[in-house]
Amino acid sequence: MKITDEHVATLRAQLSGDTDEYARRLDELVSTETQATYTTLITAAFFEAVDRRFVINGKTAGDREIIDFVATKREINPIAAERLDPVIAEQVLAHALGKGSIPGDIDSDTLMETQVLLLAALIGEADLSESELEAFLAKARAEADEHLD
Amino acid sequence: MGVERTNGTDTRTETTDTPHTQDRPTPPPADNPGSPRQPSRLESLRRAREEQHARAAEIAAARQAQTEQSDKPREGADTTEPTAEQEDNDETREPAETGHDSEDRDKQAGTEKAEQPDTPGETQDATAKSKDGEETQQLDETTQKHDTGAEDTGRNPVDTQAEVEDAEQPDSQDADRNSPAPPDETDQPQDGEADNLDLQEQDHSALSPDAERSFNTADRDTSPETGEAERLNIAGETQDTSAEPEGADETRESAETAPTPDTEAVGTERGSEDGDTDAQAKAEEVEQPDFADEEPHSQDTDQASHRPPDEAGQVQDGEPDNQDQPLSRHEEPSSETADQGSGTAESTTEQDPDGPTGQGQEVADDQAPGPGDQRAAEDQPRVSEPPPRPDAPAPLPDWPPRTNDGITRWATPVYRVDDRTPGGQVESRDRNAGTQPETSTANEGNDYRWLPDLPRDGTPGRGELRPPEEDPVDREAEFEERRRSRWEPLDRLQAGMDGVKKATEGAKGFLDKPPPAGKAEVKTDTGSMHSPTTNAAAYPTDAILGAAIVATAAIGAITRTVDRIKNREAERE
Repeated sequence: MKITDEHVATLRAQLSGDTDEYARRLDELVSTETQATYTTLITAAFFEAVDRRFVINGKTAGDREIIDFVATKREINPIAAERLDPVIAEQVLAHALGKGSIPGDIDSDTLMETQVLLLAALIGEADLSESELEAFLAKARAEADEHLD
Repeated sequence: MGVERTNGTDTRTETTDTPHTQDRPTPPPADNPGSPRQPSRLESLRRAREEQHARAAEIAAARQAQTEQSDKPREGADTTEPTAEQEDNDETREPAETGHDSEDRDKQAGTEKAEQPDTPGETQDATAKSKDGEETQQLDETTQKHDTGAEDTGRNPVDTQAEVEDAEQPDSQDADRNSPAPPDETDQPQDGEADNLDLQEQDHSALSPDAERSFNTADRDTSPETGEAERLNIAGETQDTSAEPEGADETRESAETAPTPDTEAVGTERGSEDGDTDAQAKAEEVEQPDFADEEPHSQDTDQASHRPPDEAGQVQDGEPDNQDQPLSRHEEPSSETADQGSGTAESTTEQDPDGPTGQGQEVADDQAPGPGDQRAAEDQPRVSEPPPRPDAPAPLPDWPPRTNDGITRWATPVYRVDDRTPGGQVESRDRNAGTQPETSTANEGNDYRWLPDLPRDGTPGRGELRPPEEDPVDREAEFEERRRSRWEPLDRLQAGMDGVKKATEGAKGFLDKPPPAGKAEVKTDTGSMHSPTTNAAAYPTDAILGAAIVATAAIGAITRTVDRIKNREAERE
């Protein structure tokens, strides 16, 4: 299944901060396939956001920047600080940048929760406009579509 | 007046003092009334010495020439006279006075008379007796010498005379006793030939090298200043001076005495000593100013140059034959001149009991280079100029060169630094520079200043910036491969829908926009202070106040007008 507009609208509602819309649309994704496709769209959006933030002119940032980023986000958001494990967050960022792998002992829910928190932090730091957000979603959708076949 | 005679004995240094006689035609009581020693005297002594040395050399030469001429006739007399010299020497050595002393005293007396015309008797005698101009020249010289001798001693002639008087009075008496010979040139009114002989002999003594030695020694002796030493020196000087008229004045006296010897040669050697002496004394008085005219250094030359001509002139004047005789006599007693000088001094003391005969003897001892006289022997080596021997025809050279100042100046050696001298060359600072071969400037840069090129070629990545297009590494492939690899745990992710729901609250916190904190107020300048409008806008109260003021004024004007109107109406009514 491909990423549908429903999936993109759900994600747009989440990234735009319309928590109510995001909650309503998320509740609409009931099927496992729709959930898997939507989780794939979230992963593609996460990779795209990581690439925009830590890859500059084809160069990937170092671990120092990853660590500092995680620390900073956990500092400004106390709820996220409780829910976001810094080690797992750094490992997920490093894995997104191609520097390592995600340890196997990390479950899917923890892994997906970390990606959603980091994606919200990256998008919230980028402070994208709607157009930019639409472009971002389009590219994420495309990326997700590549891996959903 | 014996005092004056003692000065006459002092005439030994006349030749030296002749220059000073110019300065002091009259005796120098004004110069040193109370102090016998003055530095000016010392300077004069220097001059006198120098001149004396030069003169002695010249005289010696002239004497030699004369002696050579008169050697033959003298030979007989020479044999006799040396004994007289010895006797004189002995006498001078001995405190006892001899006839020579008396003669010297006579000379001194004569010279002193000439020096100090104050002595009326002597001067009268001298004036009465002065006959020949030549003799007067002699006398003048002698007087000058006496004066200078007094100057040499650094005392007033009177002082020295007074001293000598005290010491010599007894000697003078002895001299009177012993002196068979007549008095000397100047004062010899008593003796006839003896005086002439004495004079001649004295002249010869001055000519003789011994006498010159005595001059030198006497000159040196003048320096001592203390008690007896002074006296001795004075006496020596006096003898020197006495010897000078005899020997140092040499040619003059020979020429001058020529007239007296003329008479002697005629047969009366004694000629009238009285007349001679008187004439000499007179001549002294007359000729003193002549010497005064002479200058220290020029005098020497003048004298040296003129004297032989004087002699010649004298020979021409009268008796050339007679000249030889007195010369011969002079030669023989030349060694005795000192003795005769002392004798003259003694004779003078005879005439003048005041005369310093004893000292005169001592001085004679000094002058006469007797074998027993140590001082003379010691002084001789001191003499810079060895006494001119009759053998030595040429006069002594002036060394050190004399100057008119009377001060001998020794020339300092001049050192010239030649560049080629080993020590004068400038050495290069770098010690090794001399050993190192010179390198051409063209090669210096290549050898020492050329830096090798760094092997930068073929070593990429060392400080060189390459554009990403030229980067051989395919970064896109890496990136694509990395992007593909990160999707591997997709299955695990797709099952994590619960985690998405759990993250909603936390994501909301990142996605929620922070509340508006407000913008900082930026104060903008509405206008310049000079614009009234802007001022009115900035300060509205000012406009209100102005309006109120204007209103009150208007109201006041209105009320006044109303009041005027009412007043008019009331007046009409």
